[in-house]
Amino acid sequence: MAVSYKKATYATLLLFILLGLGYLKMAGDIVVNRTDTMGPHYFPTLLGIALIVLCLISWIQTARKQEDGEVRLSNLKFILWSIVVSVLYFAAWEVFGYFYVITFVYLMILFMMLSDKKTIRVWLFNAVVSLGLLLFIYLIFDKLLSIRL
Amino acid sequence: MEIFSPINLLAIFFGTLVGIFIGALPGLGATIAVILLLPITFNMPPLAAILMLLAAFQGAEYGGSISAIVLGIPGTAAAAPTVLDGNALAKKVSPGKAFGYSLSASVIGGIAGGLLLFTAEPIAMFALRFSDPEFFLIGILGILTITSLGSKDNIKSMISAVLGLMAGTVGIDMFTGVQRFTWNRLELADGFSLIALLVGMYAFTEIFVMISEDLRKRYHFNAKGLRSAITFKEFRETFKFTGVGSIIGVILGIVPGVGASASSWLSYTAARKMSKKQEEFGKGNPEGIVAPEAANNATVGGSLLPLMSLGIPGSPAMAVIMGAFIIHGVRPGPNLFTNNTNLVYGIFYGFLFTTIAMYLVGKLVTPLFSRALLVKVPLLAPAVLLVSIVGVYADSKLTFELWVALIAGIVGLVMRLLDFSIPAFFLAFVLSPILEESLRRTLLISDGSYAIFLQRPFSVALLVLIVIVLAAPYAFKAIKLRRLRKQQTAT
Repeated sequence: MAVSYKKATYATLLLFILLGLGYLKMAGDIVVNRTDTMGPHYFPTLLGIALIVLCLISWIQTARKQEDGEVRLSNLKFILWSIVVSVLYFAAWEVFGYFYVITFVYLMILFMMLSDKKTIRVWLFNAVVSLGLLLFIYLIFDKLLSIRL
Repeated sequence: MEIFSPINLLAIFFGTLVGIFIGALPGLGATIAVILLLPITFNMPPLAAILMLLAAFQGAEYGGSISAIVLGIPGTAAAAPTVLDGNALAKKVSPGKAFGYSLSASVIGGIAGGLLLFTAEPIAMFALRFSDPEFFLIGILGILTITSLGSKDNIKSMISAVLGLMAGTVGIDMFTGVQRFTWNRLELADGFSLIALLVGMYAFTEIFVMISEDLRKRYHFNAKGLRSAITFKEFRETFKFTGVGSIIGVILGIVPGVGASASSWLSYTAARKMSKKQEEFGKGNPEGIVAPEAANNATVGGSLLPLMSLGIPGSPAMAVIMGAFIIHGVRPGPNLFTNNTNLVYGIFYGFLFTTIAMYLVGKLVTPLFSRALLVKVPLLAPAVLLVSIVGVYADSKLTFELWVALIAGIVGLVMRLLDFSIPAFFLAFVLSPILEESLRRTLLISDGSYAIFLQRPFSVALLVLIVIVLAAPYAFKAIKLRRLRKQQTAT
C-alpha cells in the first residue's frame, strides 16, 4: 500500500488539531476555583494551544515543499488482521479469562496467518512452539514472579 | 558489598543475557530489551531492578553487532557502522575475529561510560542550588534538545513532544486532586501507564513493521568460526581507536536525543580520518569496528549521567529506566545523592560490573545467539508480541492497559511512517508531571509573572542554552548550504 506523504501528513495533522481542540475544551471545563488562574486547567491550556499552533506551522511547511514522497506499508492485510485478532483476543481474555487456552488459540492464528506454508507439519510445529512459549510464560510470570494470568 | 548479593549478580547476568539476545535480533534494539524486562523488575529490590535494566541496555548495544557482523544487517541502529567493516572482516577472516574486536571495544566503552558516572555527584550538588524555575527550564531544554538535534523534522518532533506532555496530564491533578481527562474511568486516575505506552509505541509498532517486511525472507550465513577471539597484540593495535570511540560516545551520550546511533557514526568517521590505513575502511579494517562499538556502549553511561544528576533521561531506553526508578519510589535527580546515597553508589559500581558481565556472557553466548538469527519473522513476531502483552498485563493486572498499548501501537506506527518522533513523545511524557509541578510552583512564587525567569542568573543561563539549541539546526543548515555553494563555485 502506498499513499502520498503529504496527504497522509495533512490527515494526521488535522486529527491532531481536532485532538487539540477537544483537549482545550476539556481543559476549559476543569473548574476548581474561579479565581485560580493557574489551576489544573492552566498547563493543559498552554499545551492545547501549542499543539494547534505547531500543527498549523507543520501544515504550512508541508504545503511549501515542492516534492512529495510516498508512505509505503507492505503486507497491510497482515498488519490489519493482526490488530483484529488482537482485539478479539483482548476481548475474550476480558470476558472469559482462561488465559492459557485463548492465548494458545491466539498464537496459532498468528503463526498460521504469517506462515507461507499451511501444511500439517507446519501446524504441528507451530503448536509445539505455542506450547513452549506458554510454558515459558507460565514458569517466568506465574511461578517465578507470582503474577496470575 | 550489597553489589555482590546473589540477587544483584543474578539480575546483572540475566539482564545481560536478554540484552545481547534482543540486541542481536534486527529491528528490536536496546529500548525493547529494557521494556521487555521492566515488568520482571516490579518485585525486585530497586538496585537489582536498575542494574538488570542497565545490563540489558549494555548487552543490547553489543548484541547489535552480532547480526551486523554475520548478516550485514545491524541489530540496533547504533550497530550500523559496524556492518561496514564487521561483515567484511567476518568474510575475510572469520566472524569470531570481528566479534572479538567488537566485544573488547564494547567493554572498554562501557567502562569509560561507567567511570564518567562518578562525576555525577558534583553535578548533582551544583544542581541542588537550582529551584523550580531552573528545573522547569532544564526539562524544556531536555525536550528541545531531543526535538532539535535528534530528529528528521523539528516541528513534527515538537508536536510529538507536546502530545507526550498532554498524555502526561491525564489523571489526578497533584495540586488540587481534581480528575483531568479521565472520562470518569478509574483506570485513568493515575494517568496512562508508562509500560502500556512504551510497549505499545515501541514493541507493538516494531512488530507491525516486522510484519510489513518480506515474511519469506531467510537469513543465511556461514556458521563456522563464531567463537570470539582476538590476541593481546590485536587489542593493543586498535586501542587508540577504541579510546576515541569511548570519548565521543561518553560526551554525546550526555546530550539528550543524540543517542548511540549518532555517536557510533561520528566515531567511525573520526577513526577513518585518523587512520593510516584509510583505504582499508569498509574492507574489514578492525579500526572501523572498535571505534563505533566503543562509542555505542560508552553512550550508555553517558546517557545515565543526566538522569542521575538532573532527572533528565538521555535516551529512550533511559526514559524506561527512569520509569523503573519511579516505580520503585525513587525520584532521579540531584536529591537522589542525599536521599539514596547507597543506591546511587550501588548503581555506579554495579554499572562497572555490567560491563564485566557483558564480556563474560558475550564470550559464552555469541556463537549460540548468532544461530538465533535463523528464526523467521512469522515465528518471532507473535512470540515478541505475546511477551509484550504479558508484560503490559503484569504491570497493572488490568486488561484496560492492553487496549491502551494496542492503540498506542497503531498511533506509534503512524508517527513512525510520517517522521514524528516517538523518543520525543516519551521524554516529554516522563517529564510532564515535573514540568507542570515546577511551572505552577514558579508562577505561584512570582504571582503569575514570567519575569521570574529573567531575574535568576541560572535561569537566564538556561534560557541562553535553550536559544542556542533552538537555533542550532538552522545554523547547521546555513553552514551546510554555504559549504555547498563554495564547492559549486570552486568547480
